[in-house]
Amino acid sequence: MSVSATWTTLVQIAVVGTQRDAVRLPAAPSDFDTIGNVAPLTTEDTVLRLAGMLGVARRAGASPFGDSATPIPAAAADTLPRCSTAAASDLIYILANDIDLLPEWLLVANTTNQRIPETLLPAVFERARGRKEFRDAVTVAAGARGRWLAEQNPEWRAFAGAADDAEQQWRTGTGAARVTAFAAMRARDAAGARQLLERSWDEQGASERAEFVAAMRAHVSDDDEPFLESLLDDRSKAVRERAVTVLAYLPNSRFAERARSLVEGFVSVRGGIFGQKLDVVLPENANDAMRRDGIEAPADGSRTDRSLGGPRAWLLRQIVERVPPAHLSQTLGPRRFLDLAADAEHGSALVAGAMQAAVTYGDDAWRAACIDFLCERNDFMRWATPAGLIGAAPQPQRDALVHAIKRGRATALTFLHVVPAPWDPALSEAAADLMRTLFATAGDDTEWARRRLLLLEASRRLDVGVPGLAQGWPEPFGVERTRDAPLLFAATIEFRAGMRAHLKAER
Amino acid sequence: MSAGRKRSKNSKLISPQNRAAPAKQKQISEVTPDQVRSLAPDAASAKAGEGLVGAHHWPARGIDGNLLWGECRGSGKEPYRARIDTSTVTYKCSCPSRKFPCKHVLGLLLAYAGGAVSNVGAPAWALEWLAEREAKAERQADRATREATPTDDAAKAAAAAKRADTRERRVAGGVAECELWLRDVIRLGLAHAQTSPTTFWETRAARLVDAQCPGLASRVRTLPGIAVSGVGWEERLLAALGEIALLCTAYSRLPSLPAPLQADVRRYIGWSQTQDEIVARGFDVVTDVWTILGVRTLKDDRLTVQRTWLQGSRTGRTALVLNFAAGSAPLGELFAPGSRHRATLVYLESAAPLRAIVAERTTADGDTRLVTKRVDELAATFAEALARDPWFERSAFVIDDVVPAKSADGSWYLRDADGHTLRIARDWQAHHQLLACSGGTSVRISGEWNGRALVPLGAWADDAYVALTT
Repeated sequence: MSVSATWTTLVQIAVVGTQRDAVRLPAAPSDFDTIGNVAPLTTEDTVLRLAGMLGVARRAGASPFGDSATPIPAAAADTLPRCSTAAASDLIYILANDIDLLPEWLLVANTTNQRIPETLLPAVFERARGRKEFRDAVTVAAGARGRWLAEQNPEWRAFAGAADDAEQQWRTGTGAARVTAFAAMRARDAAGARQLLERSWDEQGASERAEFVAAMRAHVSDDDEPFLESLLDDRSKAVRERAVTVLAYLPNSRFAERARSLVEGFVSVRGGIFGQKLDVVLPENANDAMRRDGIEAPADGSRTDRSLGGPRAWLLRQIVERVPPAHLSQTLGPRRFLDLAADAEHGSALVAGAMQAAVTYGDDAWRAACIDFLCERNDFMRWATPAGLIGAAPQPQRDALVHAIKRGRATALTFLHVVPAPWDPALSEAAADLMRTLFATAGDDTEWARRRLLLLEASRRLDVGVPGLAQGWPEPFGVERTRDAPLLFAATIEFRAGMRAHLKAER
Repeated sequence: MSAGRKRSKNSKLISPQNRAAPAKQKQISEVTPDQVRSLAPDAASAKAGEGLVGAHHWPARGIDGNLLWGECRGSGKEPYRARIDTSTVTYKCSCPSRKFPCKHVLGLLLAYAGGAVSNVGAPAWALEWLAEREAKAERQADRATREATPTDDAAKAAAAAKRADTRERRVAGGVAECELWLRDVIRLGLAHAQTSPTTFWETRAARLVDAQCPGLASRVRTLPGIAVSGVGWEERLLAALGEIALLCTAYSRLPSLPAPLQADVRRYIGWSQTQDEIVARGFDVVTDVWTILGVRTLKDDRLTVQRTWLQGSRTGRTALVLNFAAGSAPLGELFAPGSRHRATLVYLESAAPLRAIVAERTTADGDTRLVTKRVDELAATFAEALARDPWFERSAFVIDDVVPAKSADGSWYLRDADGHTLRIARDWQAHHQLLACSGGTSVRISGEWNGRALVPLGAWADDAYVALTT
């Protein structure tokens, strides 16, 4: 009897037990003669001893071969050189501690044509996953190996580079991969992709629908308006909300038109050339038509910004946000409108709403006016300034911002965080100077905590090429908890300077 | 006489003044940041350690010979004091963390590996620690010497012999009971055992512990898990029972076995030896430059076991160094995966010597060579070890030129140039790290093979070692 046949019989006997039935024990394979050396044995002993010996024999003879597994097709060879060991160490530090420095690392790596070392790719993908702002830079810096690796894991597909097979993913992929595929298809053929979504709308999973609508935001055009308008009546609240945010980028939509006619009932210009004033009436409550467009009083008081008034002011602000700003100020011009609004009763809601509208509708003239207005008023805190206002601001307005900072307009610092890193040398120098002055003055606990955050934020964005950035900070400053701020600031500045040197140095 | 003693004597001669000799300095800074990272007990600690590299966290730090020390700014008033003996990577930190090594130790080591720590004489608190450690090692060595002295108190020797005798009788009783129990299991059938309450197994394991057979007891404890392990459980359970039966039989016929196999059987039953006893026995002493093929740390609620796999460059021998720690207590000497060390190892007596203890170690120098195996050679080598020691569990190998492959059911394999495949253990998680290293082309990897599945430990990408453990 062969080893395997004996073993099979043995297992059958052992499962039911030797007490059942007459047991016909298999004979030991001829090589296993030691079994007879010790006698006499009970049936159980024979089973156990055979099991022991055959078990070992089977382990020893187990073949590791024979399984048909297909090797993963190899990655293309990388043309970019790997970054230096020092630069790789910096990257490890960034991944572990300060992900906000990743864009800068990637930017310098990509401009100097170096790639992420392959062993760090999984860690980079894991950290950058779901962060759209990192995607393109990571995809380039990952190199051929990285894009190949990203294809092996559905969760990393965003880093696989130009998705040639977006249609394939759209048909067969799942979850996030399909949303990414849809976005890629939109980039190539926005109308075609939308039609595809419209046709298959009923087949899409409930949770994915809202994501698809959100993905329409890039490359949105008036062609998409009818579909988006229809989504305002969708059953899903998530879908309706996404449709509202996407519609807010289309100034010629029926959605914008409704907001425009609505706002006329609440805001009007009174008086002549010299005595012009804005009259503002607050809406009582939201009717069904307003609610359909996403204009709703907050469920509780929490969402309203108190400086902008109560729930009724919140309603007005939401209406104004939806009005293309050009319509708001037809006769007055942006700057005049903002000044009048600031002086009007309930005007805060008007200013905040208009600034948001200037950002979403992408109106350059209005964005410029908003920054001029903010710089001149030296009150950056009061209006709930939207982030996109400065980031996308035209150059003269950014210069104005630098100017405001140079003149010591401290509140301008508070929204420096929306200026994309790295800052240009002029802004960096102005901001650092102003902060040094600011930090030399006394403050209370909260004030120090805020200043500390500001300083740490700035340490990641200042142009490290500006000489003497780390010098001239008062020490010690602030209360106990914030004393480390200048140290941390200097450490980050130093790290960033080193990081740039490591990426630029000879490899 | 013992190598361990030699080391402690030597290091004691080093005074703070001459300890900062430049040659020594150069030798030890060969620790790489990657090796340090691999020492972290978990991802969170590794991350926290990376965050403490910067000099601003350390109002004072320095390297003084082998003594790396630093004061780390913490949330409390007093700074945390970390001290590390870089020659053995033993360490101590005054922080209350239950992670070993803690983030302060990791941060300091990382800074050191990155070349950011300069020569600064150690303060008193660090020197005291080093002195205490050396004194302790000295005391242990002295004790070993005393115990080994023939002029030992005769009464003590008699007591020890009596203890050994008592244990021998207890074990014999435990083994005999265990054999009876095994017969019952077979008589009633595996199907019956499978549906028995957990006490069916636990009672037996507890009895074996009472009979001072902890090795047998832990084998019995694995049985209920095998019984519910799904398809093929009958075969696996019968094989495991067979192994236990074989061990019991071997014990009852112990005198008829060759001496090395006797040592194996006694160890599997549950006798243990102290480091000093192993060194004194000196069964197989090998000095070589050892490459650390990989480190696996396995934790359960009570015990942390660390398996360090080494391969000698000159002899091609494989060695397994085990470290144990109760709960989350610190593990003993640590080797960074992928690093090389000149060391003298003493193998435990065995028919297929594998486990060893480190008697003496210094820092490695020069190039090393690795012995690599093809898949078929690996299987043959493993079978040979089983022929010598039927309870041989696993060994580590370096396998050259393998590519990652995947089967239709999603299982992962490694495939060598001959088209032979090795199954990768199901619970292994670092596939993407392996793919990143390989890119689908052939790589050299190290892994633990137990006859059924491979647990990859590390890969060499462009000659740099990358740990593949998760």
